[in-house]
Amino acid sequence: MCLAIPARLVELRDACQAVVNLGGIRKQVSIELVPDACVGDYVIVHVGHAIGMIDPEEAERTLALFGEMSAAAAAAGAAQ
Amino acid sequence: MTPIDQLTGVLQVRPGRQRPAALSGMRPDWAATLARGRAASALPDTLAALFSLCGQAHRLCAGAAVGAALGREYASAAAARPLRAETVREHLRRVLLDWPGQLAPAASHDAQQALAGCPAFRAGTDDATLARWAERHLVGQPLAQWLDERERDAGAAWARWCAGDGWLPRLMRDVCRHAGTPVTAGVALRIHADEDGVRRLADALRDDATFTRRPRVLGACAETGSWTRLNDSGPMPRSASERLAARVAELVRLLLPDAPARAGTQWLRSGALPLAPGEGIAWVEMARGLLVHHVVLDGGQGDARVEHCRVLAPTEWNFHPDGAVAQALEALPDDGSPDTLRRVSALMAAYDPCVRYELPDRHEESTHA
Repeated sequence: MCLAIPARLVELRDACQAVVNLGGIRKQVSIELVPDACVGDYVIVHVGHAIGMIDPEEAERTLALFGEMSAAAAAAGAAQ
Repeated sequence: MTPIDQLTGVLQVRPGRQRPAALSGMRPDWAATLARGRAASALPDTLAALFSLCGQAHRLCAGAAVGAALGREYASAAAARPLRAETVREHLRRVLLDWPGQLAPAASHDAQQALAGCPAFRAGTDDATLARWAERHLVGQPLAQWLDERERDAGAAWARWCAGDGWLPRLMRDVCRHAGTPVTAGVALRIHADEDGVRRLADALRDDATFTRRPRVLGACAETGSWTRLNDSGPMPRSASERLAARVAELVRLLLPDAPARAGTQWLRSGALPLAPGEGIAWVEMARGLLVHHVVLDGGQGDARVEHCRVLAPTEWNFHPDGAVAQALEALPDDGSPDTLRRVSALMAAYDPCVRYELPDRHEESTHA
């Protein structure tokens, strides 16, 4: 999908695997496509692969947008 | 539905059911909500951050729409290179990650190996290196020769290629067995071919806030994809597999050196049109089809803010509840058989929604009915 939450890389593992934190959920992904990724970096995850790194500033911007979206969705739900 | 699904939207797919039940679900119009009141100069980065997987196309389109609203000249040549690079990466994600997983798990190992060496996802890769990789790992022959043969006789060239060696021809051969059924094509979306069409689109976007969710052109549903480019004068594909083939063909075109209206950075088109002081529209041909942004600003100066922003994406055309995919789903049997499920997978991969889709449990639905 076009909308993707940035995931924070929290642990490097063997064989190009890593653990990311995706919206509070820990998930193992392949980092074959982002071999330079380090713990603390933000990546975009698609079908079990980290498909690209994004700089922290952009990641923060995206996370802030998702925060706005969640708040708007909650407000809309409360109004119904 | 997960909290993330609630934000992104999910398509509900029910093969064999009558429309509109065959295809339902709508994603929220976040661009309209989040753009309102923001500085116009920040809109490209905001939409690129929101739609991060195709962020470059959104950044270019939003920048062009804002530029048009401010009376700036649009330079399509400057957009061509980043647009091509992102479209190539998107096509490669479909071919290397999605298609093996969704259509032919037996191809996963080979696709994984190709993916591991794919230079498109590394910074600083030059065009020639990427083209050589594609010749070796995807196409199995010189790209120029592959395209020449397709342009001479697309059907014969595709059949010959699919009969050959290589993991991708094998995957496509397998897919063609259950995705070759004719699909009633929608109108080819080429409304961006002339200024009148773009103005009609702008009128609809300005006057109807729901148009981005259920778009029509002259009252009809339309479809968009690699097969509806302005530079493509070929016939509409007849099946899901021919639409998948169109994506492979576009990937080859994009990896070839520049040739006017044929290959490289000169294949995908983009444009922008000032509509009134503070109002502009722009379009880009991106991986999934035609992307359109329409903006109205509260002034015509650089410090203007966004009064409204409409983003019309390919998914809303193709997955319209009365569109080509919905019609194809309706025509499938409601039997839940493996064959039907494979045909659904091929159909969805061909039109490629940018949201997740799910098939509700048939038994559960009938129990609750």
